[in-house]
Amino acid sequence: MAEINTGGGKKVSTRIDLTPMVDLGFLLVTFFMVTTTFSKPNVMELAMPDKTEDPSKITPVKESRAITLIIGEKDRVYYYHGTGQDPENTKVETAYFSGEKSIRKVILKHKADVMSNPNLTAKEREPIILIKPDSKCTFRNVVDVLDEMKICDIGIYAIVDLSAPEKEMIKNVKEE
Amino acid sequence: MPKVKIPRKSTTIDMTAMCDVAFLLLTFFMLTTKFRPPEPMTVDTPSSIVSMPKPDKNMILLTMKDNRVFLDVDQQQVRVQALEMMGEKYGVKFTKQEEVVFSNLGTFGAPMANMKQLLSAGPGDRDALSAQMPGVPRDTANFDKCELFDWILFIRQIKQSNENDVKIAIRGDVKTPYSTVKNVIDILQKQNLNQFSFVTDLEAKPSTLNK
Repeated sequence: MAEINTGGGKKVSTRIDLTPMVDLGFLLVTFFMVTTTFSKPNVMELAMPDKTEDPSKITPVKESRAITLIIGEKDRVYYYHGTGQDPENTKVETAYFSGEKSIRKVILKHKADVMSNPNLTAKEREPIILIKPDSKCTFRNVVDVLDEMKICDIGIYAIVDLSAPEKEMIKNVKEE
Repeated sequence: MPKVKIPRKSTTIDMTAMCDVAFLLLTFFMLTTKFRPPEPMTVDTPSSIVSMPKPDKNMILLTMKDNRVFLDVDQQQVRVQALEMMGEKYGVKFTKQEEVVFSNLGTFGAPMANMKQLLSAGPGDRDALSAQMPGVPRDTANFDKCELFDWILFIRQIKQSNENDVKIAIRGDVKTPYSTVKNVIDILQKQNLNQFSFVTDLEAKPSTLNK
């Protein structure tokens, strides 16, 4: 029987250079790492006041505890103290989202005022914030204001519809 | 002086171990990667300091941009059932094929009148067509004919019959006018849904408050 000549019995090494394979492996690893979505979106929970509740059961808010923020156009927030029961004598002021007249300063000042108000009982010394977005304001501004509630640690706040007299009030501020 | 002989060592090292590590990592990333599902429109969400991750399951996601509202819900079975219920109410009959397409559609914003057109479009044209859709129609003056109201109501009914509580997430573009947001909130409140969440990006907490 004929034997296969293996070339003088010289052994060929079975080792191969793995460097290109490692290169390829890491290239793909990098690709998948970059394409993986790291930032998972977060959610901000919001509870709206129940509309079906009997309005007569709602306890009235003490004017000195409340501040109303009206979110307007062009990143402006109009604010006044109280809940706007007396539109004639309410002074509306303008605040912004950053800078010297920022809404955060307004909120923090109001909070400090309420907490040190001698006319309120200890239980009542917590600020109440009413947020009234204008129909033309952007979603970013609404979320920003809600975020300020979290930043300033405000426990009681609510999103309320803007009333007709208030629309007039902010119109007058614009003209100033 | 006698010389100290240093034996020359080979500079090639065994690459096998490194190769193993590379491919192990590769496998890991390949399996964990979840590609972002195609969206009819790009939405730039506002940022906030809250860091509560968005739950994946039992969630109705309402996406708002400009004046349009798009809707998305998980679980293919629920989607098909909701489509059937909507078809019954608005007088559109869907084939099995169209139902399958709908169950994999992701975010959609087609009115019931255009739904058949969207579902019968070829896979290549569908994304472009979906982006042109005017959003799920909403009519806050007449809730009986408001498609968005019905979609949410039917999905909730189906989920509730499966004993799942559904949560509402609202994902809005930063430039969405509040009138659209209010519209959506009104529809939710009409169904007595007073709790929902806004989808936001994470932003660092301002340091000035740590004083």
